[in-house]
Amino acid sequence: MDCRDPDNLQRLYASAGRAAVLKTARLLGRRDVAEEIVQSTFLKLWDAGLDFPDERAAFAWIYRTCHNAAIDHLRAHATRFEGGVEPGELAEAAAADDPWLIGADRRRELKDRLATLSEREAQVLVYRLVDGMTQQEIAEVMGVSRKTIVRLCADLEAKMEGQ
Amino acid sequence: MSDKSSQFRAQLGALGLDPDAARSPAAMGERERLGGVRLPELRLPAKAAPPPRSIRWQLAALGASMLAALVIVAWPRPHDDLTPKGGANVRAFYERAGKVAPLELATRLVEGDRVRAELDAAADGTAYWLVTDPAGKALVDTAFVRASALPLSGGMTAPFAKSIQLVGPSAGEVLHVVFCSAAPSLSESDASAILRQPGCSDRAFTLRTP
Repeated sequence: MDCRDPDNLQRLYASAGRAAVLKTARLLGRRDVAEEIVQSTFLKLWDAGLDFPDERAAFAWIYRTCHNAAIDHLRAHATRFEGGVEPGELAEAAAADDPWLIGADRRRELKDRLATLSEREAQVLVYRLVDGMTQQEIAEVMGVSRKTIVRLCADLEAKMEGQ
Repeated sequence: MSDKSSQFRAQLGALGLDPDAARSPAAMGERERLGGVRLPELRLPAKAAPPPRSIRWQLAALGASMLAALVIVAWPRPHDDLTPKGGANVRAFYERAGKVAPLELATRLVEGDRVRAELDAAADGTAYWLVTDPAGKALVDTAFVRASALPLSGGMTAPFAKSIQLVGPSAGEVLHVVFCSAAPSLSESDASAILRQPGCSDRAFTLRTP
């Protein structure tokens, strides 16, 4: 899928954009910020002019890029979520049957954990704990070997046990 | 997790990108939820003609109340986003009122804006950033540079953990993003020494305020 073609990119946005917004908003609890991150992700795709072998590979890139941006935002802005209701916050109560939506308490707990981790460790932790991904799926999304993820997970577990 | 499916797999199934997962309860539930998501229009900027050698963006001439800025991104050669020293493609963003947007030609930075950057690394290495005056003298100490260290693996996209708010905009500050393929020897007395380190490239990105 050639993302240098604006029609291809618009088609990709129409098909994968909602999933990216939903995935990002679940983690941040903010739909407005999620929309900004997804817009920014597609602008990066456009700017970089990437060409993927298929739509699944393109979606994996989008998923990873939104994931990383959301974690970066969460680490940098987490204090904003520590009190009160912000404009654009997800109606969490209305999405009680959503298995991947995390609440404010869990988000605070996650923020504390992320503060002690490297970028890559933080990414893997959220893939595992929030997204419920297997090591094989994480490897696919991050574009690395499963062996690398196995090692990263082992390091991560050791680090968490040491805390 | 719903029927032990991951969010990624459920979304693949819901989007029809994984035939094995398409009919799972998780994928069907996700498909229903996606139907309720409002999607704003994607606004793509027009792509400009290829930039002149080594200069990608220039921003200038802003009003008195605005922070005038000149952004130069080194872009050595077509098909060479990555410097010969093992560098990285760098994108810059600015943050205003809690919102993050790409820093591009039409962007006007104002007082209070924060600038952030992310890199696509072609090789393993570590990225740093520092602020200098126009003559290249560091305006930050070595601890600042050391704290900015961003470990990268080849093929990885990652942002610096923090953003930078330039102070004294009339002082002509320059923000450098430096990619080092080997661990640099950081001078305690002169943080700008990293710009002259073998294996480090300061050509990836500079943001200059006149």
